[in-house]
Amino acid sequence: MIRQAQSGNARIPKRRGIRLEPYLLLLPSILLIGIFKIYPIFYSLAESFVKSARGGVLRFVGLDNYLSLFSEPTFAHSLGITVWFCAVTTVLQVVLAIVLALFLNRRSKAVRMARTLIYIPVSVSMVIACTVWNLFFSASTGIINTVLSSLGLREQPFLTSRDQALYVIMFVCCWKGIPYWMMFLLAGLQNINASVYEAAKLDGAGFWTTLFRITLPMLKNSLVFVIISDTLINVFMFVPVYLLTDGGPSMSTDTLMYEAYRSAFSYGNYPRAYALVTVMMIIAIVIAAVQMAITRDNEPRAARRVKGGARA
Amino acid sequence: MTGRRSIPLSILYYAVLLLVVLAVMLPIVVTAGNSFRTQDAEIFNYTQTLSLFTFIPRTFTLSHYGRLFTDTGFGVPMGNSMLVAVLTVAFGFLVNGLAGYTFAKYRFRGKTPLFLVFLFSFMIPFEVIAIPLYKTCSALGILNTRAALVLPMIGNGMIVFLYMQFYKDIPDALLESARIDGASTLRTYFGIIVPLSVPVIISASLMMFIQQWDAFLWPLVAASGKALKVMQVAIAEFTGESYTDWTLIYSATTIAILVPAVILIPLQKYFIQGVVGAGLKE
Repeated sequence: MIRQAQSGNARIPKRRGIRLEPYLLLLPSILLIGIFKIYPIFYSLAESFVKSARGGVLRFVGLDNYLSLFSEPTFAHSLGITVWFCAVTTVLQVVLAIVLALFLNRRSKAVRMARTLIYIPVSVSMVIACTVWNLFFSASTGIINTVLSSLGLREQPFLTSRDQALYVIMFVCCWKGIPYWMMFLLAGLQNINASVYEAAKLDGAGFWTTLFRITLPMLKNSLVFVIISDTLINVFMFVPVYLLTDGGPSMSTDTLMYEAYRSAFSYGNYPRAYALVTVMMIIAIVIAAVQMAITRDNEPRAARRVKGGARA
Repeated sequence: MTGRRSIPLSILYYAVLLLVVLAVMLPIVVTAGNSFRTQDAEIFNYTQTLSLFTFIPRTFTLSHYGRLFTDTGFGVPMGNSMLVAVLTVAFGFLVNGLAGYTFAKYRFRGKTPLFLVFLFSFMIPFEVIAIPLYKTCSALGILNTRAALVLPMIGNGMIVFLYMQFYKDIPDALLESARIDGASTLRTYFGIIVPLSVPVIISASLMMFIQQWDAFLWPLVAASGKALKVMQVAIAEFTGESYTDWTLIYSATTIAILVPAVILIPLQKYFIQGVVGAGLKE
């Protein structure tokens, strides 16, 4: 992406001196992105090293805000929940999105119509998804318990149970997320030339060989993007906790983002909120970096595999 | 994945396909259905034992939609959401489109670092920014105004990137001929480039519209006063207050699903091109 930006084929005749025009054209976006996107990031970073002393004077306290955060049992608890939620949800969403994309990668009118319908949750907001599933998962009047009891199964407490609430949230995130991520994977699948599959078939490659030796390696770019973006979104998951559980029951769904929100807007403890946000940003950057390192490492091998699979 | 299948396999495939579609659509169908039921009690009664009417209504009425607007004043948040989304789309087109054009067609000092900053701005999840952004907007004195809802969402690195990708493929010869004819930059942009860019404008506008229409965390903290409240916040309050007028909740929810769906379904191709293109192009 960067290289392309540099080599932008600008053939507009050069004039002497610095031309103002490009800067003027960019001015509105620079101002808006600078003030509302970039500045807040650095502001919270800076504020996380500061505490307001008596009389409203700001005092540099170094890592104090972080140290007191790390010493809280709540932080370790929320970190654990966030990591567990993120790991399970991301794996579920990505695997099921791959399965669904493979399943829907067909040319037929019925499949195209099905896709249109399956994409609808993409435009349904998280608030709406939560509102609707909240009513369906209701322990006393929810439609899901109706179905369970008619099947002779025991009714479940769902969101009111500390053992189940987080999994209900995972379910809602999957319902909304799987079609969205599938969109990227299906686009990637449709870019794979059919002749590659023909060649594999001629060589007697079976379904699994084709999948692991050809399809998934050729889908790598889309997959990496989906896994990284999905992980980031899941680390910062907030709306379902806010709407469905308030972090409960017994703090069983108290994620880091919810703690940060409460710190800032319920308790007015901004230094703690900024420290939390910064920690989450570091987690996000580390995850992205690790995943990029892994995929870069695999690149030559995967490329060879693709060639080998297609030709051999 | 390719090749023909036997007839039984085909039947199995379409049966599974139907199941998948049903699983995804069922909550939406039930939501819409419940909004047409004549009474709340009906929703409750049919969840006691499983029957077809657990999922779809037995008798239909549209009266709850009327009640939604007359009793709860739902028109205000709905109008707010629409206004905020439309303003963001319109300003977003002007600001991000020009930025994408500049990155695609100009060479200038500082271009690469600036571009990296733009990229960075859209890789950071919005949730990270929300809390400090609250302080920023408070310092600017725009909290609890419509500006707080619109201004921060106009400049969008991802949309700039999307426009840039598209404008790069427009041949420079076209721009040069306009220049020779003496057209100014803005005239060239709006007169020649924009008419050629309808697909990317649709993609970018859809993405920005959906983003604003679905936004919740930011409107919740930045402008949740009665006059400025957007639809998502209003609906969340229905649930939060252990509000038990179910048919009302379902009709509000149905509207919130319907508006983006009606816009998106006919233009889905553009939306997918935009979302996938911004994410995956290298």
